[in-house]
Amino acid sequence: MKNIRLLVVSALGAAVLAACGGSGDDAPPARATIITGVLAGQATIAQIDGSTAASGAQALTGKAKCDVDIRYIVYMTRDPAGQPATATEGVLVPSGSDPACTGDRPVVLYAHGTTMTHSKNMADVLHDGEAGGLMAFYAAQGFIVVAPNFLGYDASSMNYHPYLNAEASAVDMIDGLRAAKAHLAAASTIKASDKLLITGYSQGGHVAAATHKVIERDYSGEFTVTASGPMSGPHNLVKTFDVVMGPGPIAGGAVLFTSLLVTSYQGAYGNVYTNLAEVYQSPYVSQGPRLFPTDTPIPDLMAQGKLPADPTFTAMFGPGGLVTDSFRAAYPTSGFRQNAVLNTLLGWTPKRANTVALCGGAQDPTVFFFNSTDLQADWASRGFLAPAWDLESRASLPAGAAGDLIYGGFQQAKAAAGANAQAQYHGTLVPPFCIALVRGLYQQVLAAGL
Amino acid sequence: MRNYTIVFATALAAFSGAVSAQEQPKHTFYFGGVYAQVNSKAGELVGGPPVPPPGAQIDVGDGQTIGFGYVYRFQPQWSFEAALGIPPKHKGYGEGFIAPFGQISAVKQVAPTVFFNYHFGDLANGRVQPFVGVGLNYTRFIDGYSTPSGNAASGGPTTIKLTDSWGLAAHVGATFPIDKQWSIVGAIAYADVQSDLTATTTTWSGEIVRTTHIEFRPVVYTLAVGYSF
Repeated sequence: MKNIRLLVVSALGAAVLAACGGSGDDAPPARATIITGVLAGQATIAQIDGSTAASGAQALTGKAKCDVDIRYIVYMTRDPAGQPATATEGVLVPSGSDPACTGDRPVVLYAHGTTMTHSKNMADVLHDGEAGGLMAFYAAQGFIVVAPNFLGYDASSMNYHPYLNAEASAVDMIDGLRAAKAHLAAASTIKASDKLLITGYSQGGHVAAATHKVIERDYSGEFTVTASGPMSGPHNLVKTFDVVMGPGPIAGGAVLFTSLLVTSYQGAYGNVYTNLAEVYQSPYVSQGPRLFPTDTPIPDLMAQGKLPADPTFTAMFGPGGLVTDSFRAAYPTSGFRQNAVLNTLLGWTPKRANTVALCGGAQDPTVFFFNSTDLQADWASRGFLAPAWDLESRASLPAGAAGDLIYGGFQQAKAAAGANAQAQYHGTLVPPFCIALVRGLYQQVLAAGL
Repeated sequence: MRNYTIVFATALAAFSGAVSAQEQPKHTFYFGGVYAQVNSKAGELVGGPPVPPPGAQIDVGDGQTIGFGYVYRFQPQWSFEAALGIPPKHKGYGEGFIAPFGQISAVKQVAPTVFFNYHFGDLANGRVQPFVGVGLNYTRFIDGYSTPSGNAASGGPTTIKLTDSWGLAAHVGATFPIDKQWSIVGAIAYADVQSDLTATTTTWSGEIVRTTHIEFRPVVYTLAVGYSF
């Protein structure tokens, strides 16, 4: 009978133990897990050449060598708090019979510039000029372009965009790169080689630099940064805001950037404000904690009283301005400035010599050019030498005909813009010339086998 | 999100058979482990932005818990049984387009079940005493939540609610007497558990409400120890 009771107790114990197990939640899907990846469209050489001929960009892009497959991927990444979040990206893949379009192709990991448009989609090469330009500059020349749309845009699950959050942006970029490579390995005849070329413009310049830094710091076993070309990025972010919030000048677009940044830093760090009215003047508190990105046209937002009715987006302070006097006065010791310090991309050093360049224009009224020269000087202080190409300075550009073409073309484009040159400087005039310069660097590095 | 009530009912039923009909003690309490195998069937989540084919669905995972109950043997071959248990947790998994998100939700179920049982005669010299029972199951879903992965799948922080379920239950099992008081009972039960799920997601542009109907179709396995007097 003793044995039988022992059996009873054992059976009960086993049953109860089994019943008590396994109550924790499963780990979320790994970073870069592909939710979906599809071939969204294709562009032919003729279509690409037709587009670049019509826009006048072909002198810089060159004639297309490859058709391009446009792929769209939804992937899993992490938000600034480390929680799972989805993001989307466009992947532009060369195809065709030209030797430049076959085999394993180098990857250009591209970070797009600031946009207020929630539906931003780098796979939409027909309607997105930035995506179309990248297709012509890179994919049609044999580079695979991986262009994340960023957390908080398109079909991302995030409710805000971690704007100018260096670490979070790098994580998103790295997961986008992983997802793209995995997708191509499974679904495309053209695969990614191990050559990784990082670039981006404006906000994307900051993201590109952050991604370069984080890959070499944390992911060196997985990726090698072959070359890198951050363009017109606010690398010295704290100095930029010290200028804007202090003596000026106020950067063009500062109203929009500030709104995005307040949302981003409050979301990630929670130290920008206790009450939104501390930051925004009374009419603009109505924009709430998160106005951007949105698909509502900006003129409508102005008409709704959510933004100052100023087309230069520089109405930051004083009557009719976006920001309260008290927020500006408290800025030097504020959490907002601490966050800008945290996301300033100085104090790191790329690992591979002769593979990095910065680019911009000295008269940039939106992202001041000191951002590029400060980063260049910061690297130089530790013995890492890299050019900071200034489209206003022939001497700073590469020697020879290529440099002449870039310099002359830029000056010609500025002249053609006339009175609109300042307004178009950052967003329209500088990008194609810097992209052409950076592409030249990439071609040089690849040819040299660096 | 599911059949947990059924699991408890099964456990209870199992115990109802725990006492030998020949000895006929009137009261039995039982306690043991319960495993609810959920074979859920749910329609596509309806509402919110369009989801690419094959759509978004939820699959309910199995659950396990500790079950207990009481059996009243009011006739030598008939008994009434009330089964309960510690509310087990069931995980919800994405299916279709949202399958890569893995576990997207979890919920506990409180599922009291009552049975009327018929006890057959002894088999194997009284060492096996089979029984069957039919009854009624009530399932209330509590503590439902969307996981961080579920929030990502839904597009933002999400709350989950499931309606209560009433349904028929049935079980079959056998009691294995050890002595006059103690026995081991094994049982398998099935219950009709259905619920309407509502998931409400807060996004930057407003709330998204998605709904679906879930048939849990649980098969509940119970292994318990009973004490009769």
